[in-house]
This record gives sequence, structure tokens and C-alpha cells, in this order.
Amino acid sequence: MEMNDVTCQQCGTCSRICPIEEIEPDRVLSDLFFEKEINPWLCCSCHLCTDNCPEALSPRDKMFAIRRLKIANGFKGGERLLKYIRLLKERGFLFPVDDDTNQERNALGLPELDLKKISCGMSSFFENIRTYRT
Amino acid sequence: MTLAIFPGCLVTYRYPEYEKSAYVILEKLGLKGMFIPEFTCCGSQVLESVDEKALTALSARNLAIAQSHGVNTLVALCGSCTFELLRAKKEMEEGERLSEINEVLGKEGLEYKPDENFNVMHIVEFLTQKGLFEKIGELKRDDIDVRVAIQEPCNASRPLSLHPGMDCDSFNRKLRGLIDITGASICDFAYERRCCGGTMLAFDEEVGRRLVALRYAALKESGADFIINACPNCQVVYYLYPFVVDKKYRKKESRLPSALFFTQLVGLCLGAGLSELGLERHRDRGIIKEMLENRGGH
Repeated sequence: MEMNDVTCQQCGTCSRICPIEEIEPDRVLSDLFFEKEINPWLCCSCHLCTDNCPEALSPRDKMFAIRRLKIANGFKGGERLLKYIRLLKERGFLFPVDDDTNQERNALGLPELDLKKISCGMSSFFENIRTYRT
Repeated sequence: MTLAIFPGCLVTYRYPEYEKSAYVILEKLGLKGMFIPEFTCCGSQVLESVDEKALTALSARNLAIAQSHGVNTLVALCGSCTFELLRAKKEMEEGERLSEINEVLGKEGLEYKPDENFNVMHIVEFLTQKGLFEKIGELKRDDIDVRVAIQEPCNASRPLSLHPGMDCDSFNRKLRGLIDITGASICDFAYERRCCGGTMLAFDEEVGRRLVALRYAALKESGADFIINACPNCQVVYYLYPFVVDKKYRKKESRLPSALFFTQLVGLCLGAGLSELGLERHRDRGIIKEMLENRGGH
């Protein structure tokens, strides 16, 4: 836990302003600064909490830090997240961009993406990140 | 100025009409947008949930690719891409990660060079710069006097720490300013400034579905004919997902106001045709044509 987390005064601003609180009214968002269990996937990343926190904390960033911690501890992250990551590493996009994408672009008069360069670039990039770490 | 558009993955995969209509506006303004064929995804939220360092490096890589083409003004169409590119730029400029990430990028022959003349911004910011905003007004050919609701893209202007000199209303003022030029009247929409909730659909669909249902109800009450988006994530909420709801939950959400990108509305007021703005591929093209023909005495 980062030291500055303790500056949270539990004023409730983040809870009130969070779009998700409208459907989860009992959730106390500041709990995430006090090691209380909170579902870190319930964040739409709107940054309203960050921009309105009187202590300049970012509950949004903390949510993502908790996600990473869970994943580092073996949480698989759900089917959709894994699919996005696989597509990103293979094709450079979260979605299955392919020749059809370029055909649609042609139809609109847009230039084509260099799919081969993108996909080779992504393999090198993720391999270079991996080897840099080890 | 050497300008390039950064489309991002959602625009590339689902909404090339946003990219196309952005180019159309640039052309009307006498500007050339350079096309970079090897940009990738920005990694937003997905990679951030897994690996923060790879996330910064991925965005720094896209910035370095832009620089390798001589680009000094990178214009993002998506809120999330704007956020990720600006965040990586700031992190790299603050120095700590610069050499580490450039070492990784260097293996591909890329390098990000901090440069005060290299700018990254969302397309709303770009088009409302002094000079350009006024020029759009001067080039206006037609009043598009329809009723619209606006969905502000959260990540294009927040967090404010990435946007020095802006206050929390700056972006909204600029987006509304562009819509005002088109002649459209803006209806009150309760969620205009409160997030479309779209990215929740990717991480917890049930929560996402409940969030967007609230927005659909408010949108129907707004009296708008169109919902205007400035981010592909919002377009998913108002264009794609209503049909998922219809199919999956056997409801009739599809009778929502038609979803348009603001660039399409601005393009129309600059005299661009439906097909150059990608509106011929819009699911509601019939309704849109009819509405444009019948509006305010035209």
C-alpha cells in the first residue's frame, strides 16, 4: 500500500460522483484505500473521481493497480480480457482487424493499413519487452 | 505543421466513417492529414489491467512511429487513445522511464524524442484551436437545424492533470461550440457529462447493461433526433449495443435517436455529402436522409 493512500479522508466525494454508484449505491469507493475488498472491475475509467478528489488521490488508478495485483496473483481476468490481450499481441488491435477491414476502408476511400508490418511489429515489441525484463 | 490522425482500434475495426469524416473536415479546412499505416491500438484499460509498463511502452511506440514520419501534431479520435497517448508522453517527458522504454523501442529502430513542438490532442481540441474554429464558421454552407443530445467523451479531457490550462468545463464548451456552428439545437441530456458507461460493457456486461439502460431512458426523454458522439466507445453504446439489447433481452432499445459522430454533423454543415461522410453505411440512413430533407423548412 502506498503511503499517500492514508491521506484519504473518506469524505465520500468519489462515491457520490462515480457513475457506477447509481446502480451500486451501497459501495463505498474509498474502501479501496483501506485494504477492504472491492470489485476492481467496476470502473468505467471516466476519471471523475480523480478530478474531484480533494486530496488529489486517484481511486480510478487504484482500481487498475488492484486489477494488476489480482492478475499477478493468478486471477485469470475473464475470458474477454484474455481475448483482447491475445488479439493485441497477434494483430496490434483489440479487435480482429483483417483484410475485410481494409476492404471497408477502400470502399470509404481510406488508405489501407499495413497489416503485416503491424503484426510483425507487435511480435517484436512484446518479445523485446519480455527479454528486457529477464 | 505535419499532422496525422491516430484512429485507434475501435475506429479502425468498427467506425472508419469517423476517420473518414475527420479527413473530410481537414480537407475542407485546407489541411492535409498524413496517413500512418502502422499505428496500433493504444492498449487502453485492457493492457493497463494487466501490465502497466507494457502499456506506457505501447503508447510511446505509437508516438515514436508518428515522430519517425515527421509528424508534430497527432490528433486522436477516441477519448481513450487521447488519454493513453498523453499519459505516455507526460511519463516519457518527465524522464524516469524515457531511457528504459527507448531501449525497448530501439530494438525496432524507434525512439521517442521529447520535443515541446510535438503535440497530441483530441480532434475536438484540434478543431477548436484559434483560427480553425473561426474558419469552420466561415466555411459553413448549410444550417443542420436538427435536435441533438451530446455525449461528452470522458477520457478526451480528463484527468485535468494531463490538460494544463483547461478547466473542467473547457472541453464541453468546445464541443458545444462546434455543434452550435452546425445550427443544431442542443437538448438537455442528463448524462451529457457523466460518462456513457461504455467501457463497462467490456469488463462486466451486466453492470454495463444497467448503466447504459439509464442513459437510453434519459436520451429518449431528451427529445433529441440525434445523439452526437466524439468517441467510438460512446458510439458502441448508442449505435451498436441497443441492438445487442434487442436481440439478447428482447427489448426495443433500437428506437433511440440515431447516433452520429460530431465530425459527420460538422461535415454536413460544411457541405459534404452523405457518402463521403460514411453516412450511406449508417443503419438509419433512410431516417437521416428524411430528417435532413424535412428539417426546418428546407
